[in-house]
Amino acid sequence: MPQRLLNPEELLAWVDRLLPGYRVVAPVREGEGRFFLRPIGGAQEMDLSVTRTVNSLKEYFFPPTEAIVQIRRGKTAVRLEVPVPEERQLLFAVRPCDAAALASMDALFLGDPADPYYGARRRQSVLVGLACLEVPTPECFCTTTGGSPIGTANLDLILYRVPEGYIVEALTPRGEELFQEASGRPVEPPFRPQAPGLPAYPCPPQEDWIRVFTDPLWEELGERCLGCKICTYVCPTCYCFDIRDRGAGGRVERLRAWDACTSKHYSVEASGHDPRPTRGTRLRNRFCHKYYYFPWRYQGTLLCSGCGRCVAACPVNIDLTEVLEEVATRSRVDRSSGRNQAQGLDH
Amino acid sequence: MSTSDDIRRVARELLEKGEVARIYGYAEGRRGQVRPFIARTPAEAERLLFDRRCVHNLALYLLDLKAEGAEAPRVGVVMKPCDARALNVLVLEHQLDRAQVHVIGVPCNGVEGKRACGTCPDRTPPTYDTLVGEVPTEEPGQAAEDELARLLALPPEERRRFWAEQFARCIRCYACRQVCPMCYCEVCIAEKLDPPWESIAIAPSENEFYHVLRGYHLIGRCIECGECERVCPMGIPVFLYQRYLAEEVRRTFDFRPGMDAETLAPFMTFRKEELEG
Repeated sequence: MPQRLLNPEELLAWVDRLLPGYRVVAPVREGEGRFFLRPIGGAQEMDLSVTRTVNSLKEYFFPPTEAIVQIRRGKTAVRLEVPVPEERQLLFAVRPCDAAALASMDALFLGDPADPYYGARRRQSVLVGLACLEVPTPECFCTTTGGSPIGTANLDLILYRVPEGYIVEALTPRGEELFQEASGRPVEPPFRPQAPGLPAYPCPPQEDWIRVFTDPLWEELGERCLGCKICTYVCPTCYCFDIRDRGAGGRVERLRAWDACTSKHYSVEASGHDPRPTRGTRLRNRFCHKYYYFPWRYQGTLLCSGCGRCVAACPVNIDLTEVLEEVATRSRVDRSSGRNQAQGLDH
Repeated sequence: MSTSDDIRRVARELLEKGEVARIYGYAEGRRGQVRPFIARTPAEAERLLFDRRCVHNLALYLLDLKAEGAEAPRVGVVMKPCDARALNVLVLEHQLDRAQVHVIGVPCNGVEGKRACGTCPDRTPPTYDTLVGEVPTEEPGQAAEDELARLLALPPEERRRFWAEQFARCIRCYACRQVCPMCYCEVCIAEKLDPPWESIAIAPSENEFYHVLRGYHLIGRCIECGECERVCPMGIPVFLYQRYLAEEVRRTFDFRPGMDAETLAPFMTFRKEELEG
């Protein structure tokens, strides 16, 4: 599709022209040099030297907290309102791994029954990607999960940073509309991006995860795991949530808020029984959900896009790429010895 | 011999003699980081090390012994001064038996990347069973920026706005709480839903409630290791807030928690005469 080259000033002007029509979310710098995806009021707030944002685009489709039902009790009737979001949003300069992560969220939230809140945000959003022509961080591993640093999945437009500025390419009809608002000059012949090389980690198949289900690996990891929610919350694909009502009397709202399977008591049942009583069993569940249960349920879609946030943010150096290697290695050992076959799973 | 060599030697001996069942220490991790590590055999003890990357407070993992109850074995643990202060607080609060633990004390003048080290006066752990390494003579590498003084010089409304902005960025991952050895409540009040002390919403008001509450629950107990601030993924200056409260305790009660395991802490002690003004 056609491409245009915008110099940095033209790029900012383009974003400023788009601002009135959208809530624009873009990378900004905050605190001590960390990048975050935040709503912006002006293009000059963006920082496109972004390596990777601490937060992912997940919160703009599946927010940390939202009211899913408003309940009003009047004198004679009870009224229920479903507050479906209406705002249009433009996510600017998101990385291909974040856009690819939407595939997992779509599989879950747009399936049956469809989630109206996610669905509305998804329909009302335009995504402009920033391709990774260099590897942004040492923790990146998108190719391991079937992605690409120059991938265009779920993007409406893509940006390629070049010495003179940014090359913009429209990818969808919606992207074309925004493309028309950009200035700059046409790029002929078309720019062909080269994907940088990334370290390759194993992506163990389902059988490997089954074989290591009772391996000591999980308790070894659990020993140092803090049981916090960092990995889950920075992840673009983790979607665990809790639902609780807030309010009293005539006005109650039913809230949906993020939660994490890594935390103590997450799985405690009404009887008081906890099927995942240790940090190790909870970690096992989280990793198996991402690489075994979710693809099993959703036609092979992984619940991971290799963005590396969990690896970078974990305070005790629990590294998903290392877990993938350990699962691949230990399952080979188990295969030959016949030990550690998972019990009680009806595959 | 380096401190790492000394730790390996002590750890090997303790394990070989059966004096401890395992040793909590640090080992080389991945991507140039160090990670908490439990050595259970002399061979595993060879992986133990100590350097300025050893930022974690290993007193935290001693709380796992509680779950083992009467079957909990005697364990060894590598501790910097702040870590050992945490141990003293846990012993004082009857969470641990001091005799259960063999402390391999390491003198310290700061570790990488923690603002807390800049204002720490301790160099040698206040409790240990074996001391390895030498008391460092040079001053801590990082400058002791007096951000707290700068903050306190601001009018109250501006301070309020500063903290409101910071807590609005919080995502309630609870890493600050999970990494803290003093936060060992079975169910945190911020997550206790029956009755609901606060809603599940991740939002400015609820975040503030959690942070202020945690600060107050740590009064007279926080040993200022700075782990809370290190682990925060959003870069919220959690330690600054805890340090302010700790300095209030010092000013008001002339008390620093964790210097021993006997001195009663101000907020845990009831004296009848205090009622009478």
